[in-house]
This record gives sequence, structure tokens and C-alpha cells, in this order.
Amino acid sequence: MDKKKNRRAFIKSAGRAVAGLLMVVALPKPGLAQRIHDIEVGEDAPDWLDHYWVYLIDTTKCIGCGACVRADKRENSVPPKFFRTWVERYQITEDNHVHIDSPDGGHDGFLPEDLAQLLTKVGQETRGAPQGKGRAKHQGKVTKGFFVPKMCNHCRNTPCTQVCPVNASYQSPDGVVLVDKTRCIGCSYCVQACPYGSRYIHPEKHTADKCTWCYHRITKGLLPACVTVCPTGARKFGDLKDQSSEIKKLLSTQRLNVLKPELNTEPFCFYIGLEQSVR
Amino acid sequence: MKAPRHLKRALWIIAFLFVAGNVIRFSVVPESFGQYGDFRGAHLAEERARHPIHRGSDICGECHDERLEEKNNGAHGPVPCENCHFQPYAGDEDHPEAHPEVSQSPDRSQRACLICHQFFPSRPSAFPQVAKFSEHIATNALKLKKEHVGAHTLCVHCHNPHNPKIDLKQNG
Repeated sequence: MDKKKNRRAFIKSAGRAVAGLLMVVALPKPGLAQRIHDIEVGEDAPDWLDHYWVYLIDTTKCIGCGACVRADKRENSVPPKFFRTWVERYQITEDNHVHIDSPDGGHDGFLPEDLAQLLTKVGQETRGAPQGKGRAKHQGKVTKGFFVPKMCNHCRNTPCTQVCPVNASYQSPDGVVLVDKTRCIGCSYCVQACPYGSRYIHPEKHTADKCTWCYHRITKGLLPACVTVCPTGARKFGDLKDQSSEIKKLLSTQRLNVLKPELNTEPFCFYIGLEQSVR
Repeated sequence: MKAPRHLKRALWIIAFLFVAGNVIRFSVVPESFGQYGDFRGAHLAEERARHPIHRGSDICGECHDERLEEKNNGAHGPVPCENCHFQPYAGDEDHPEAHPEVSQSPDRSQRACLICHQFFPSRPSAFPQVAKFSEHIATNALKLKKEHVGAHTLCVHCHNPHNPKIDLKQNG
């Protein structure tokens, strides 16, 4: 009897030892709980550890021209019908109804369909870009109206990177949420997890794609393409670690809000003049 | 003392699992994984290596300095060249003159102007807007040249896109 018991105990403990050993072998080096900002800055550390990027959108300045959407499509070769950034138009009528529309993501502006078509016919030199449908139909006087540009919020507490089964989606040391397309398996968990709808599956590459704050530009000292082309200065971008930056000044003096603060995603894309009807 | 057979067998199994686990791990996990966090560290450099397309107005000013100055001093100062001239500079660093993609003849239709200047209740009221194009022409028809009045009147017939504000005193 004793012998049998001993054998069982041995198998049990041996099993535990093997499982423990496998855990040690299988875990990635830094440990799952380690936060990005805890990483030690070594001597040869690249300069992305010296920045923490932040985005600011002033909705009171946006005119809804769609230059940002067009620039983004050119800069990042975003496929048609998909958007890394888009502009929404809010119109609140006398009867307190909120009408939200975003024809083609605001790519060709918000000209009324009839006017856009008329101009395409009349203007001899026009390029006549096809006008997207999907404008909000409403009657009654608009008492309050504004535009809200939207994009990836680059949350610090990201729901999208948490669900990625292959760690293809991650937050870089300077606060940008990126997708490693060589690792992405296109399961689209992250697309569902994002509460802001800022991710999509690329129709040709079949991997997740999203706004990168133009990571190839900001790491070279340029501004994101959408910020570069904004004619009214509604879009601002900067470095939180740069104490003298304009964005630091704006963030400390303006009245700020974020989209869906109740979700505790800690977005690093701040808004000025955000109305309560914005979802 | 000779070790019992079952103990030897268990040790072999453990050793095999250890070796197999490591072999699988090193063949599956990419080299730079875990360098900065739970992701492939080399991807940061890969993402950064992409070539920027939009280069801003300053690069245009290297050759078209008069045009850029005219624009910057006018009401369209904050509007980058690329917004109307569409395709941005795509040449390499050493040859800024190579810009085949830059459109020298941008869209001159009303659509190109109204995309920003058509009146919308959603636009900030301080922004210059045209509520109705036909009315705008009617009220300003006297100042228009005769050949321009009609269905084919374009904004650019009166307004210089690089400096759109019209000095009424000067033009009478």
C-alpha cells in the first residue's frame, strides 16, 4: 500500500515540477505584468524612450474639409472604404434630435449631394470625384452643429492589445499602439475589442490595420500627415516629455475631455469642446 | 548505488521536455521579442523605416519661394501647398527638383473651394463661408468681368487662391 502511495505522490510532484519548468521556459523574458514605462533606459537606448506622444483635437476649429482624411489615405495607402481617421458631422435640430453623418468618412467633404453633383456637372475643370452617399436627412433648423474628427485614441489602458493572442498588437515605449503585420494572424479580436471602431482588417493583407500617428513621421521629427495638412489647426500633436512644447501648454490650459471616459481606457487623444452628445 | 529504473525514466522525460520546450521556444519566438515589452522589438525600427510622403510647404518654397511667401502672407497662409496641389513631393532628399507627382494644375472648380467654404451650420461661424454660390455671384456681379458671369463662373475668376482676399477699395 505504502509503495503505491509513494508512487502516486512522486508522479504528482514530478508533474508539478515539469509544469513549473515549462512555465519558466515558455514565459517571455520581461514578465507579463511589466508596464512599458518601467523599462530601464539603457545607454544605447533608441530615442523612442525619450518621448511620450499625445494628440489634441479642437472640435471648435474643425471645418470638416476632409483634408486630414485625404492626406491619411495618401500617406498610409489606406484602402478605399476603410479609414484610419475620419470626420463626423453632428447636427442637433430644434427638436433635440442628434443627426450624425460621415459620408465616405468625410473624404470628399460634406457638400450636399445635389450641390456636389451640380458642381461636378457645371465645373468644366472639375475632377468630379464620386460623391459618397450617407448624408443625414433631417428637416428643421440646426441649432447646434460641429465636426468631430476621430481616429485611434492610443489608449494607455488598451482593450485592443489585451485581446491579441499573438502579441502582434502592442503599445510602443513612446505610447503609440502599433500592429506588427508579420505576426498578426487576422483574427480580428482587436477590431471587436476597440470601443472607438478605429481598427479594420486590411482587405488585401488580411491583417489588422489602424492609425499609427504616422510613426514613420513622428520618429523623424515630422508631424503626422493629418496634422500637417489641417488648415485651421484643429489637430495638434506633440511630446508630453518636452516641457516647452505647445501641446504641453494647451493641455495644461484648455478644458479637455476624452471619448467614452467611462470605459477607463485612458485615451491619449484629447478633445477640446466635446459635446455630451458625441459618442 | 544504482538509481531505480522508474526514477531514471522520469528524469529522462523531464530532460526531454526541457530540451524540446527550449527548441520550440527559440524556433517560434522571434529574436527581438521582449526587447522593450511583450512584442517584437525589431518592429519599431521597421515601422519607423517607412518613407514619409507629405513634406509640408517649406520644401516647395525651396524653388517656389515667391509663391510660398504670397500664400503665407495671405488668408490661405495656414493651408499647406499639398492640400490643393494634391500629390506631395515624392523625390529623394538630394533631388528636391524631382517631383513628378506634384500637380501643377490643381482642381480649379467651385468644388475645390466649397469643400472648405460652403456654408454649413456645423462650421465655426467665424470661418469665411458662402451660403449660396449664385447669390454670392449676384451680389458681386458688378465686380466680375463680363465673360465670367454665367453658369461657368468659377471662384478663381475673382479670387487668387494663393491670396484669396479681395481688396475692394483697390478693385473699385
